[in-house]
Amino acid sequence: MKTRKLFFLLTGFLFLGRFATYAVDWSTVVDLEGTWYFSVGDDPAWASPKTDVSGWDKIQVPANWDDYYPGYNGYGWYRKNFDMRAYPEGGKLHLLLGKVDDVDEVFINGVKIGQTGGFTPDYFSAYSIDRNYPIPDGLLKPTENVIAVRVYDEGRHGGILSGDPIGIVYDNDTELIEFDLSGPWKFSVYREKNIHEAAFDDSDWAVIEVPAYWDAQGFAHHDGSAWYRKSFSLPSKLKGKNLFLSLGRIDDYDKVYLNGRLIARTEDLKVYDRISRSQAYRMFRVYDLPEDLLQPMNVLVVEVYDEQQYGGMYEGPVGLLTRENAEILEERNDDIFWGGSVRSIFRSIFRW
Amino acid sequence: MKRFLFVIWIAGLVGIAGLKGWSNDRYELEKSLSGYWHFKIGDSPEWARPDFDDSGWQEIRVPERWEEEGYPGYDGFAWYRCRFQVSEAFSERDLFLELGYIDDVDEVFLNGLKIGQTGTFPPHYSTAYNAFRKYRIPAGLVHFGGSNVLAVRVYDSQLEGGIVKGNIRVGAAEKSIRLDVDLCGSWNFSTGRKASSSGKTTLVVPGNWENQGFYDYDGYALYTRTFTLPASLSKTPMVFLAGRIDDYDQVWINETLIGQTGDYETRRQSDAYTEFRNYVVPPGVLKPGENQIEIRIYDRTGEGGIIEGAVGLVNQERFIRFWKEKRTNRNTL
Repeated sequence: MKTRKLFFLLTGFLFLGRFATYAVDWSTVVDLEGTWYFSVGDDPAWASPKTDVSGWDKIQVPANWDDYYPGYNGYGWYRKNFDMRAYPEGGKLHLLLGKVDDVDEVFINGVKIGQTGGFTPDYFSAYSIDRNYPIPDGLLKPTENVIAVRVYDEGRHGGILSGDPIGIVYDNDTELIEFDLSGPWKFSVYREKNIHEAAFDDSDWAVIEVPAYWDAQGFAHHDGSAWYRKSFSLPSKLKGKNLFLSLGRIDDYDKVYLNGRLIARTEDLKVYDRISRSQAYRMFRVYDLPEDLLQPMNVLVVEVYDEQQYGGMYEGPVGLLTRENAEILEERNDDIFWGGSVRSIFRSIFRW
Repeated sequence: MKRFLFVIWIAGLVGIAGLKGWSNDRYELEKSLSGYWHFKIGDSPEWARPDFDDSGWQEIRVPERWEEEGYPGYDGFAWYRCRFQVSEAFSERDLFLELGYIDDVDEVFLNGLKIGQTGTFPPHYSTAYNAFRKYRIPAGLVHFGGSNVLAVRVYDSQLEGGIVKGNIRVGAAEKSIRLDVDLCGSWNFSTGRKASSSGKTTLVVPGNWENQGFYDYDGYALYTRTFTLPASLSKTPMVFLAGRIDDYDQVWINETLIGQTGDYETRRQSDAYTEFRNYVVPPGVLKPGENQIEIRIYDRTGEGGIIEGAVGLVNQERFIRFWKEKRTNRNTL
């Protein structure tokens, strides 16, 4: 009797683990698993592609760096060169690095694209977070790209520890999007008057990449409200169509304004009634856009409220899509545990 | 309940025994110092000096209770001195001096520099008769191939006294990093979070504070000292090695936080006490000439302080080379 109970408990955990990892259907564009250059120590010049690292050691990524340097704690840098054999059409490219113990900062071609955790003097570990960095458009070249990862390890295991895939990927779901809204958005954590209005001046706001946790884009430790703003002109081929808006997954709650009008909230989602409000960060946002609200020039404002830990519009395709594709997207992402989708549970079992 | 308390008590004893274990370290090279040393009862700071003439002193066997060596019933101060040579083969290694067990308190000078102390002398006497003596010898102190003078000041309060037992030796451990600025040795020490003029004392680093007069102390403590940075290194990227610290630490150089391990502020439990600290010093922090360093420590329980390891500054280039040479799994890729 006892063993059976234990069995069910264990399988339950296995399902949870499974769901946590297969939220996004990634396609790998550049596989970065394998041999990287590595050096202990710290030097800002190592971010620059001009710095010659041919004298560095080589180590496997992912791996615990203590397998090579027993007992080593402190700073270490990883470097690798890569070519872009193929670009997907449209959609955002992301760099996945898996779990990094404890803190990392990533540079591509000398440009910092993100950071997870905090370095001294504001040290905090982020060893349990799966690294996911959107790559700004125009940063990658066909050949001779250089990625540099600065890592700080406080103790025990260290380095780019684990993860699959590790590399440059894109979200397969982006193929369903007609008009892509991922990439740079204006961002602020301060409530201001008329912040939802199209005419509001956001020129002095920060710019961050979407989708990504804001904590990895320069706003570590921010909890509470934050505002994203994006202006876009509607392509003429989409005029007059019944369109949907995908915002992917948001941690935790959102309110969406289009051209000054509130058009959707987390509470409007179909899944919202089925599962606990505390699970809102796992709900996939696809909202119906009211007809005739879209103009040739538009302003989209997303107000996000994050209760704790990481926050923001963090995952999934962001953009406009047709009703038909919106249904496919919702269907594909309706895999929340206890969400009523028995089919997806079976699907995940057979993927093992 | 009684049984529970008994278990806790036994666990405590086992823990204390663990702190004071007999050294069974195997060194790649070692030089035994057992044999006849010079000995004199009494006390004088002059006797620490390497050029002091001890030719008129008595000979005494080390290790042995001095009661067995012609001083039955003697309690109080006495000094031991010996000269020894180690070869060039000992250079570029971590050197340790092991003096076994000393009853009750000792203070050790090598070539005139204090390198360690265990227990505390009167008027704040505390014994450390059951603590194993192992002192790290600061780099650059030993004359390889030449003569070195070791002077040990001992205080015995009652019963047997002296350097009583153990394998008395200088051991050379695996080739270690050569520090540019070796900061092993005496540091100012005070308990609490802030430096206070009262209760300020000096401790030898590395070495736990339990064996240096702070038996049973847990909580916040502060190590400070100054050091001189050669002008030639003032523009060189440097790494500060803080050794293995029990439990949590913050290291400040010239009032800039350069590294931390464990949760000094909120004291959440972690096993940071197992880790050796390597902190890259941010550019612009070190100045040519005198620099101030402060190591803030919080000890949760058990032994506390900067326990072991090389402590000091090394230029980053050598630090990188050291780890490159230490690298394992060289051929797996």
